[in-house]
Amino acid sequence: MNGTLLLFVFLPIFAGLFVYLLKPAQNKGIAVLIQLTLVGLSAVWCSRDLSQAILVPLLQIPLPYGMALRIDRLGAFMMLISNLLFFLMVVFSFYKEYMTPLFLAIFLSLQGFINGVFLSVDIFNIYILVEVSTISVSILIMFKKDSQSMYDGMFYLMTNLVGMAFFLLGLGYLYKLFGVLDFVHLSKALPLLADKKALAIPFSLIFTGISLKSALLPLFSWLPKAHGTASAPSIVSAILSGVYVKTGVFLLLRVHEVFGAVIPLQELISVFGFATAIGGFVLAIAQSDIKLILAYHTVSQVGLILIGLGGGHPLNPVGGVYHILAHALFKGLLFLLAGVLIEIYGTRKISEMRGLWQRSKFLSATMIVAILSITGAPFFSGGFSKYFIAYGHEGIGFTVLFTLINAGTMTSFIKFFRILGGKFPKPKSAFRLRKNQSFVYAVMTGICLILGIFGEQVAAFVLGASLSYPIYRQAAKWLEYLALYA
Amino acid sequence: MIFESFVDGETISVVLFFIGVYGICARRNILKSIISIGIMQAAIILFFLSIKADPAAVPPIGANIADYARVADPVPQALMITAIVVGISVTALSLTMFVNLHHKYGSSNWNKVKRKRRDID
Repeated sequence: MNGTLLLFVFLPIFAGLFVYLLKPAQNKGIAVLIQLTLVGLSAVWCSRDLSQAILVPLLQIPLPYGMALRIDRLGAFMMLISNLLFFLMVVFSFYKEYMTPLFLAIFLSLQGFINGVFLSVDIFNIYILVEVSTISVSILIMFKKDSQSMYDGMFYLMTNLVGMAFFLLGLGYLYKLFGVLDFVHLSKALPLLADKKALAIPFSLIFTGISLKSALLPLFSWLPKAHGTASAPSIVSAILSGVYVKTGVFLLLRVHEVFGAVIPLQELISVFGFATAIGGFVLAIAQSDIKLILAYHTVSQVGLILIGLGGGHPLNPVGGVYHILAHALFKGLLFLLAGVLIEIYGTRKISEMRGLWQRSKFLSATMIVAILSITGAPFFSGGFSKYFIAYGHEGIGFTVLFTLINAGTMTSFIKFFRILGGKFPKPKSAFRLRKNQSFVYAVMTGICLILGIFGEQVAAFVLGASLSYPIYRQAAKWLEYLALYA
Repeated sequence: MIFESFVDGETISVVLFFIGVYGICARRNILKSIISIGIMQAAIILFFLSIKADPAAVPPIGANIADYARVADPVPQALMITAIVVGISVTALSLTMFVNLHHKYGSSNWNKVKRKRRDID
């Protein structure tokens, strides 16, 4: 069973190479089959007892000099999210014309690199994997090679290279101080250091690199360009927003594990979280391009995740981690919807989209579920995680901040509700939803609901955490709202 | 004499690194941005190689290295070979993208390219 960890990294990469080099007729079928295998495997790993991290050595030499893969609760959880989303995306775009062997090769190897980041025990391996995945992402962004995406891809590549250069220099300082680069020995060695001030330089360099990767407030200007780029296929945007930004958050958690004992990080993360959450939605309100609205909201939601991770109550970090899963699904769903809407209406301007309810009841229902999830309504995934993110934050200051963030999110999604009403304009192109696309929409909508209604059971399965927010309390929340606004 | 004690691999590499950062912040030419990233990468390589450098150490090669008191640390070299390979491929990719970008927009200035992108929108 331990050997299957290698499959998570090598299976997608080799499958991508195989598809690209030999160009078999059934290339998409192979991709779907591999995705199914990986989703199944990650579900099996999630169900195992991972309260102690499992180390799988790759060499005969033990760890400080050898190499190993490590899986713990968080890693298994992140892998489940990433593989599930990759599976849904491959199914969604099964009949699209851009699913060439080249696209599949880059897309599948990106999945391998992301899985590798979640399994690494060594910071240098993480650097290499993140750098290589940056390359694949920038190629995916400019895959259609039209004029806008060239600039977006170039800008994305440059900013991320600079960020990772800071990260690597920080690693150099860490190596100079400790002579090891794996998490296991670093977290043992850090508290023994006599001069704690020597950690300031490596920590700030590494934190700069990670903040850029996870798009915290001053360093997020690359994200809307990369995620909201007009020309990238919508499944690429969904993967970028759903999974790839979360690798930055994941690295932040790993750094927190290592440095947290020496440098108090909770408040720092919390402050960055509030600033990012507010900054994200303020910029989102100003946009009129449907994909840009969603991209700026990713910034805002990453801020919310950070608020959870930095919270003082023990339930706050669990809520934050749960929000990673919730956000991956509803944001993926919203990006897929945006892609189809752009196809139906032939424009990206949200103000020109009208009458979706008249055109398709199914798409409208899907969109309502996705919007209710992102705004955090009870019974939906976002509501469940946001309840625990806000849990235990007492005082008027926090109340004002949370109300501000929620109100801001709702304000910018009112534009989405306006798509539903009105009269459907004369169609520019005949668009028909295929069965595989309907399947993906149905599955993702279902998961959004399950994550909210059966949130306790899901959290117990994927995180091994007991969260208590039963359905009748969620129902009571609805009544509270109604009473408040009636 | 105080000045000379500062001239070692580490200090020079940190200075070089921030020269690269300056180049990225201050110059609007895309090609110069790529060069600046190259400078930053070179600085990091110098940094890694000089942190554990010891002129008296012997290379960790051969069967009887246990006899020597000081043996050079092979890990930074191994890491840097990887980093050099990644750096080269990244530079090659950026240059390829730059050529494509230049064909599309006919400019190598970030601001002009950005303006042209907005016009297409």
